[in-house]
Amino acid sequence: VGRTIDIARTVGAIDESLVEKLGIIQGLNFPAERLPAITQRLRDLHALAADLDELDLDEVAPASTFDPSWDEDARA
Amino acid sequence: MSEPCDLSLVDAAKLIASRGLSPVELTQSALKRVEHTEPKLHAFVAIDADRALASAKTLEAELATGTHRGPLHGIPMGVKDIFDLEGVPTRCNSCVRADAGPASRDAKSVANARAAGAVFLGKTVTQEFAAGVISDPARNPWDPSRIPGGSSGGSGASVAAGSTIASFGSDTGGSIRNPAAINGVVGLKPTFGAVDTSGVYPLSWSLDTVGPLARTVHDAALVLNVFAGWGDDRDAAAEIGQSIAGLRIGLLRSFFFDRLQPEIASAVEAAASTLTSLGAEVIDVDWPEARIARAASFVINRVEGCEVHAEAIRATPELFGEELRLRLESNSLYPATGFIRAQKARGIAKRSIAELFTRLRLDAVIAPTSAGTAAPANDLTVAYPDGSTEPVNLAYTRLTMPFNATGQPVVAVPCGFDSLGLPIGMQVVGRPHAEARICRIAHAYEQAAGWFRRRPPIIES
Repeated sequence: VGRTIDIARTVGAIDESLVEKLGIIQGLNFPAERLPAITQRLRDLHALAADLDELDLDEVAPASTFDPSWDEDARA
Repeated sequence: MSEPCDLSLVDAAKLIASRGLSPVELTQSALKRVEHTEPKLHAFVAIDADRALASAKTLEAELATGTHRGPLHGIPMGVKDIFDLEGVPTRCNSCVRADAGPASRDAKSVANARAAGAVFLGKTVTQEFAAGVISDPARNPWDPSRIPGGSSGGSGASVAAGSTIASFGSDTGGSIRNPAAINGVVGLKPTFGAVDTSGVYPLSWSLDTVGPLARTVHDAALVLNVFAGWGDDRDAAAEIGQSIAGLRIGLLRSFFFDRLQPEIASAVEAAASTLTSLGAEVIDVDWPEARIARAASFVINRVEGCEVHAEAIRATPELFGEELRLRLESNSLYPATGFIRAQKARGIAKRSIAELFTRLRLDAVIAPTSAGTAAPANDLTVAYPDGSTEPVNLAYTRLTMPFNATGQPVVAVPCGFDSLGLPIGMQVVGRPHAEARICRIAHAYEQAAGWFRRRPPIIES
């Protein structure tokens, strides 16, 4: 049941070097002095989201909706 | 000191309708209260007294010709500064929007209130882009050295202080309910999607809701009807005044009482006893998925917020306040698969609470609103008896966020005061679209308990 993620290992893998590289990929260039705080915040989010890793979600659809209908202007 | 601005909306509306109180008199009274309290409260970012009085005069003239628009006719209100108010900039308490020009039109809910005769005194303080619970520089009317909660902190403080009769709030993770609890007023978060959010600066599209903060449950229900544009087919006040005898109410225990200031736990338990004395059947219930609902809500809130501000956080990060900047920078790196997983977990949260309501035939569940009362502005933590502390941004939203994930309607109602004289709040949570039922329960409790009659000391000082 659920994913077998070792959250301590996941959170532990998040270091300043990784955060700096992910930031570059995202177009966010973090000044070096900001890296410790950003890294800690990202660790915190992963730790909080660990409650979701225990779940078996294979049969569950995401709670997102998409309405394919067109509005009146586009239809005309 | 009891002035017209201390009236409930229901009482003020009755007097206005019967010509016993004029909109101008009520607006002048509210503006006088603003003048008295604002030096300490800082609940407003902008006040336009001339425009408000001009509007009140127009509404007074309408009454003289026999036109009465309904319960909001001539009622002074504050508009949270993430809502567009025509002719006024929407600055969202952020330097990012320091140069924003005047809004060209009202947000939909604001337009509805304007058409219903509301008088807008000005714009109330929000946490930057509604992303947090501090609402600096606004302060708490029960103790101005403390915060008013948030993110609708200025709205909550102004309603408690009597400088508005009701105000606009938005709730993505608890931003109506938390300031309601922290300021000792009522906050009504409607079912997700019930009120049009157009013209309101987004925080998280799939969680954002719009609703009122007001002095009483009946007041809040009437304002919600207007915000939502409901007519005869739907009325949040439809069951107000009906007995709650025989209704089944679950007192949510695990998760909601796990880490809490003891006086809050006692107050909510006492409120449950009051509901029992009114004839409701109150039973202890557990919702094991509450933790999942909170985590899903947290992740969705944080990740969607990053996309809202994607351009600005890359172009001008230095214009954000440090707290929001850090949040956007770090959460932008969260993986997309984690976001989808949170959306899936949201479905589980919804199913599980629906199953709980159905299996136990519940009309509502109740829970504490906030894990702590108003924190000092110079110490933004909540302390617990075991010596631990928790930052307010977590302590104030931990118990509210689960119901943003499920999308249920919730009314937050005062349920007591701690030993420092600070307000405590309780959530009454209903089935989707059952605003009328939760307002019935919360109103019955409110009238029996009478906490709404207390006024904060800032009014007398």
